[in-house]
Amino acid sequence: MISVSNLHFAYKRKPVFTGLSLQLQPGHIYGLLGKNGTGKSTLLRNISGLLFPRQGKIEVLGHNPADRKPAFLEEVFMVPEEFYLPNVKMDELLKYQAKFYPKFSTEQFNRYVKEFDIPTDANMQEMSYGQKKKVLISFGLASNASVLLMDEPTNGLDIMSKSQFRKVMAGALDESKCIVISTHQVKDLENLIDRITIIDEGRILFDQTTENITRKLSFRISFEGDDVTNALYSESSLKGNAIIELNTHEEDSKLDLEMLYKAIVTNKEKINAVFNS
Amino acid sequence: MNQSFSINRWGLLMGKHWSENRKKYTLGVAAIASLMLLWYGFMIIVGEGLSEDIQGPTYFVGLFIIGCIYASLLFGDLADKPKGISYLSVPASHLEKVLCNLFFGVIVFFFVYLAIYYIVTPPMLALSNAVKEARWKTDGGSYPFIKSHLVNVFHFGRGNGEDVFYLFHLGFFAVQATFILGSVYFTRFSFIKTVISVLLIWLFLFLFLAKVLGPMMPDGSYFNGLTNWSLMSDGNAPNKVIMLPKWIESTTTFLFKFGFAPLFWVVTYFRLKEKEI
Repeated sequence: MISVSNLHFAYKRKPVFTGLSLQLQPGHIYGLLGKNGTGKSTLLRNISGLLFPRQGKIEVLGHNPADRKPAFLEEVFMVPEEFYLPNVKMDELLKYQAKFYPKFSTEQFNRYVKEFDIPTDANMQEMSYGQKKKVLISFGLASNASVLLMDEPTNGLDIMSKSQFRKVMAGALDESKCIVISTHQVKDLENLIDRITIIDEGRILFDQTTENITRKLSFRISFEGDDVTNALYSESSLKGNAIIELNTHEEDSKLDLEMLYKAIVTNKEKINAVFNS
Repeated sequence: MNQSFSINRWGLLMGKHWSENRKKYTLGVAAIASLMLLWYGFMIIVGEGLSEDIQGPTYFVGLFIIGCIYASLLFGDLADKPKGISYLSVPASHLEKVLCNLFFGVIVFFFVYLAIYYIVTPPMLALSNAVKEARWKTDGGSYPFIKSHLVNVFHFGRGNGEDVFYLFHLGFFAVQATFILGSVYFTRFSFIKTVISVLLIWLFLFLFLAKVLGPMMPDGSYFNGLTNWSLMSDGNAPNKVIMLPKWIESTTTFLFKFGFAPLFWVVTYFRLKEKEI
C-alpha cells in the first residue's frame, strides 16, 4: 500500500533521511515514534505529497504522491499537527468539502462528532483547538480514505478526548485502511497501534508488530535485584522496578510503549538483537 | 475521472472557495466602495470636483493598486503552513486550483471592481456637479459653468487614434498576473518582493539595452520604438534608419500586449505543481 524505498530528504543543507526504506500494509495502525526533529512529520508529508523526495521513491496505492493527482488525494487524508479549518459551520464544511471524497459517509461523521462530544452548530473559529482537531479527525475518518496519516493527533486533546480518540480509532480500522500515527506521546497510543516504527536520525531504529514485541519481551514490575541486573531495561518506580526482559516463558504481559521506547533509544543493540536472533 | 480537469470537481472547488471567502470578499467590496467614496468626497471638498480627468485616473489607479494587492494574496494560503497543507491536500488538480483562483482573482475581481466604480461614481458625480453649480452661482456666474460627465473607462484616453484605455487594461492584466505569480513564488511579503523583483528585471533590461546592445550598434539611437535604429548622419547626408522586419515588431507588440498575462498564469500553474510545504 505504501512503499518508501531509499528515501533521501533534506531541508536545504540539513539532511533528514539518507536512504530510509519502509513498507506499510492495509489493515494496520502504525505508530511512528521518535524524538522531536527526527523526521516523523517530514516522512508523513513526503507520503502525502506535500514534500518531494530528493532521491529514492515513494509509492502510495500505485501513485507517486508528488504528482498530487485528485485520485491520490481522495485516498490519502492527512491530519497535520498544525492544521487549518475554514471559519464555517459544520454543515457547510460537510456541504463543500465532503463531496471531494467519494467514499465520505455523513452518517459516520455524525457518529464520530457525537462520540467526540463536539457542538454541531458552532462556527469552526468559535471552537477550541481540541474541538477543531476532533472535527478534523472525524472528517478524516469519515472520508474513508484508504490511507490516514495523523501527525501528533492527541496534542491539544484533554484526558477525556484522548480516551475518546482511542475508542474512535479502534473502531475505525478495517482491512482496506492503513492508519499511520506519528507521535512522541507514546502513552496515548497504547492498545491502539499494532506495529511500532521508531525513527531516529533519519533511520528506522526499530520496526516490529506489537504481537511480536509481547511474544519476545516481557514487561513487568520486579522487586528482585537479579531481575534488574539481568533485565534488558529497567527503571525504578514507586511500585518497584519496571523491567523489560526476555519473554522466555511465553508469558502474557502488557506492552509498556513508553518504556520500550526508552529501552530502544538507550540500548538499541540489545533490543534489536532479541528480534534479530 | 479526468485527473487534469473535471468540470464537476472544478465546480466543487469554486463552491468551496466561495463558502470560505465570501465574508472576506463582502468586506473587500465594502472597503473598495468606501475608499472610492472617501476619495471622491475629498476631491469635492477641496474644490476639484469629479472632472473627467479625475474619474479616469481614479478608476485605473484603483484598479492597478487594489488589483495587484488582491493578486498578491491570491495564493496567500501557501505562505501559511496549516492553510497551505489544507489547500494542497484538497482532492483537485493543480490546474483546477489555478483556474479557480484565476476565476475569482481575475474575472470576478475585474467585473466587481467595474461594478463598484459605476455604482459609486454617478451619485458622487451628481453631487460634485451640484456643488460646483452652487459655487458658480455664489461666484455670480462670471465664468462659464461646465458640467462634468461620467467617463466611459473603455473609451478613456482615446485620442490621436490610440486606444489608451485598451492598453491600460491589457497592462493591468499583465501586471496583475505578475503579482499572482509572486504570490506563489514568495511565501512572505509577496507584494513587496514582487515589486522589487519587477523593478530589478526592468533595471536589468534597461542596462542590457543601454550597456550591452547599445555599444554593439553603430553610432545612433533607437527611433520610434525598439525595432528601429536611427544612424547618426554626417552633416548633409540624409538620416539612415535600420529597421528589423515588420513581423518581428508586430510579433513583439502582440506578445507585449497579450502574451504576458497568459505566460505568467502558465508559470503560476507550474510553480504550484512544484510547491512543497
